[in-house]
Amino acid sequence: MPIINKTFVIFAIALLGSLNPGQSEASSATKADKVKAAIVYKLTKFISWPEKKQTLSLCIVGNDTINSELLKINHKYSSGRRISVTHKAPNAPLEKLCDLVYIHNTKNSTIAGILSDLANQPVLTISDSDNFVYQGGVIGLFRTGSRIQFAISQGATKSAGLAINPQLMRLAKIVK
Amino acid sequence: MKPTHQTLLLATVFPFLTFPSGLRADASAPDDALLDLSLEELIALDVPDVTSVSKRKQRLMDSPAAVYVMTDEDIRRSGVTSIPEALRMVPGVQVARLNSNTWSISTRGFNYIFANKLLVLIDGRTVYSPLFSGVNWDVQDTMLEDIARIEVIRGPGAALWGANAVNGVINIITKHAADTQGGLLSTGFGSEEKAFGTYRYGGELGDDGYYRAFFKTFYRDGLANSDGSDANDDWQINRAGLRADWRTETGAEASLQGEIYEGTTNPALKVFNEDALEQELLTNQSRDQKGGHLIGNYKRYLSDGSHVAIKGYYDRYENYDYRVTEKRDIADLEFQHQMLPWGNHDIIWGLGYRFTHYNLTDMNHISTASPDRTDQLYSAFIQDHISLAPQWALTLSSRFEHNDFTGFEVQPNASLTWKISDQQTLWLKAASAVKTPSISETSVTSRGIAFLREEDSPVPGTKVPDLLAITGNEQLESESLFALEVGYREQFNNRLLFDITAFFNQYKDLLAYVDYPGCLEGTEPHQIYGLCSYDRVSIPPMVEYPTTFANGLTANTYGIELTTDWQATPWWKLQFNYSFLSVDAFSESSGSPITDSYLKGNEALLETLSADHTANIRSHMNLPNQWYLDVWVRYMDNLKNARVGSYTALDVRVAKKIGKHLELSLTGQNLFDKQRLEFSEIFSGLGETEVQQAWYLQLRWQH
Repeated sequence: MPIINKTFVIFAIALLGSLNPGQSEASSATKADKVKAAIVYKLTKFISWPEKKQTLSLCIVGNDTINSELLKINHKYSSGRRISVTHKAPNAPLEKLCDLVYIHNTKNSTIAGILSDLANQPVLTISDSDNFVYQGGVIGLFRTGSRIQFAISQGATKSAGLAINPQLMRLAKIVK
Repeated sequence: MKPTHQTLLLATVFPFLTFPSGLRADASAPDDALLDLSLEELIALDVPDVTSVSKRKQRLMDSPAAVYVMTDEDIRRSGVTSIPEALRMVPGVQVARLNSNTWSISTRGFNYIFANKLLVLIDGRTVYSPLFSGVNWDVQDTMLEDIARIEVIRGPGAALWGANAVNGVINIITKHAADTQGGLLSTGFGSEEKAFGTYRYGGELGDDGYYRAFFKTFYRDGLANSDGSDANDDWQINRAGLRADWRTETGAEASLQGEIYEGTTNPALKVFNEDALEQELLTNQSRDQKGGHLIGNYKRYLSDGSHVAIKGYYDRYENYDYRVTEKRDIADLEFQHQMLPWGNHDIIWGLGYRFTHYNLTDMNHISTASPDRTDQLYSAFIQDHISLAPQWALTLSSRFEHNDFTGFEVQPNASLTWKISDQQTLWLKAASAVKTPSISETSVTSRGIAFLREEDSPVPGTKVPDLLAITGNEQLESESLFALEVGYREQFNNRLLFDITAFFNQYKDLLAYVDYPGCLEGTEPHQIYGLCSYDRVSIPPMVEYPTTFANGLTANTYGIELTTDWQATPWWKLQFNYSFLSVDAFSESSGSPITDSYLKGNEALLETLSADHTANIRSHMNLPNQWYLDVWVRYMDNLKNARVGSYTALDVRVAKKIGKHLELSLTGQNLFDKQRLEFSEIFSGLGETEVQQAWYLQLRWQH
């Protein structure tokens, strides 16, 4: 009987639906966040700055779930240098405070502003925003299907005066 | 060196100081080991993409429009086999199937077969036909698994999308070639889906490019006649497509895509036999359709973060209908530039040109003064998104068009968004849109296609069914709409999303069928009844009412649409949506009592075309051992003009994944009724058949 069938189905769904939604779930770092943070950490081993460094200051610009993952790198060592991770506002004097800047979840126009302020400064700029390496950033993280890759801009590397180990160049997508 | 207790405390407390207190890092052990992997291992890892989904969710939360996004998962889990069937799940959209290959799809009213107030685009290519101002839904298809999402915006979208986006825009977007790599076979059979098979293969192109190619074929059974017998409106279409996406050395994105298709449908046609002087139902006239398109896109990012984009496409369509052979070419070129001139302004502006060429031949029951014609459309648009304050945004936009029917048209639009919090948005929109007259409304005469229903015969004693002849009117103006919309969205604790929209629409200059002076060729005033008849003396007379179009109606419509998305448990997702619509039509006295009676009839027609209420409940369960259970219940209120009662339909899909690459599923559709008439009308000349209960089995294999 169609009427009984319909009512039953609707009731069944409504009954099952009255289950307690349970505790609210906090948003947490995704696997992509962890992989990106790990890539940022490992990249530093293959890069040298024009001045020899004891500590590398990594500044995070932008707010999102990856911040907690990047903070896990704080106090880790990379090729004899201790990494110190802090969060900075986009309009902070990044060229004075940072050796590396990781920019994410930030408007394109703001990124353009930061890159123009840091042009020719010995600062390694990394981001996962689209087209970062074509905008003047040094390293861009991007996704190809199910994998996360990174691209290196030769031009931006040169203007920052950074030296990149050929082993890293081999693994990266190179962009002029 | 071990960190001191102080630093450890700071490192633990610091995240809570900087971010909302709800944020907690996932502390699972295996994922922390990622920091120990080498770079080679890291870039080879399989990482699921959840950010594009959340980015889109955020964009949706902030959008000042009644947007509904149907994802590829929604399409797959609902068990639909075509785009028109998928549109049933959208709030505010009314889908009614007339026969095996014809659907009436409209939003916020005006449920005609040629529903002309809805703009439909596939990858930016318009599939709206300017001949009969509607969409040939049977040939709007692609490999369903390659559809990334279908965005449906109810309400006027004219500023960004163009004229005829009066009541809404349906934007079908296919996946980037990088997201469809490898081989995918999708095949099966069933009671209505007699046989279908699609195969796609995607690979890499050079250093930074991807491609895919697919072939799709299906054979669908006809629906049923009202007595349960098999109607012969089965159909079959073959389609092939290709797509390539790549990045140039300068970082610009380019893509090229194309498809070709050909197939045969067999809708029953109601035509008038002039010799026998009676209505005939032709069920043996097959209608071949074929066509193809090619679309090119180029998008270049500029150093200040803005971008420039160019799109061009060519579309060809051939329709071999018994009543007319239609060949159409469309060439379109569009340019768009996004500027960020000052901090809080985000401006997009663009220019477009479209060239449409029609060649109509072999006409039966249809005649036109210009069987070979070209029309040109010039357009420009501008949109400025202004951030007034961190929580307030104002969007002002307008479109300027010049078309060959009504000349210059302007369609402005303004909206205000108030982001009450990260989880709540309130938006308001005021917009104006126009629908330009179509070729059939201005310069085509059709006779012997439209018949009045027997019970609607104005004069008793005539030999029913009475004929309706429709002549185009070259002097038509555009129909116009002024709309006010308000919407509210709230995201509760990450699991429950609530979205409600209310609208009020005021239409002016709506087209109405009114009397056309004089009798058409072959008919003359009857000696007793005075009406145009095929024989002036015969009793009962075979009457033909000559009509034409006039901008004679105004209408007010209002309604609400609400959607609730609930992730009830990690394995169970539910969606509920409901829409309400009310239509009031009015006409002014024309001075002629005959015209006034026609106008009153048109008012009644407009007010009874749509259903007052529609609702959908969808449930998706991910059960243990890779079993999936999907249930979809939908309700449509009665369609008074179509003489179709309200109904509730049930679709159920059970699927099992075997390993990572194989999926088997069994889908049952329309399970509550053995068969059901969903729609009927008098203008299209197509016969109606009834939707049947159906099932099909499907295999999907990825490699």
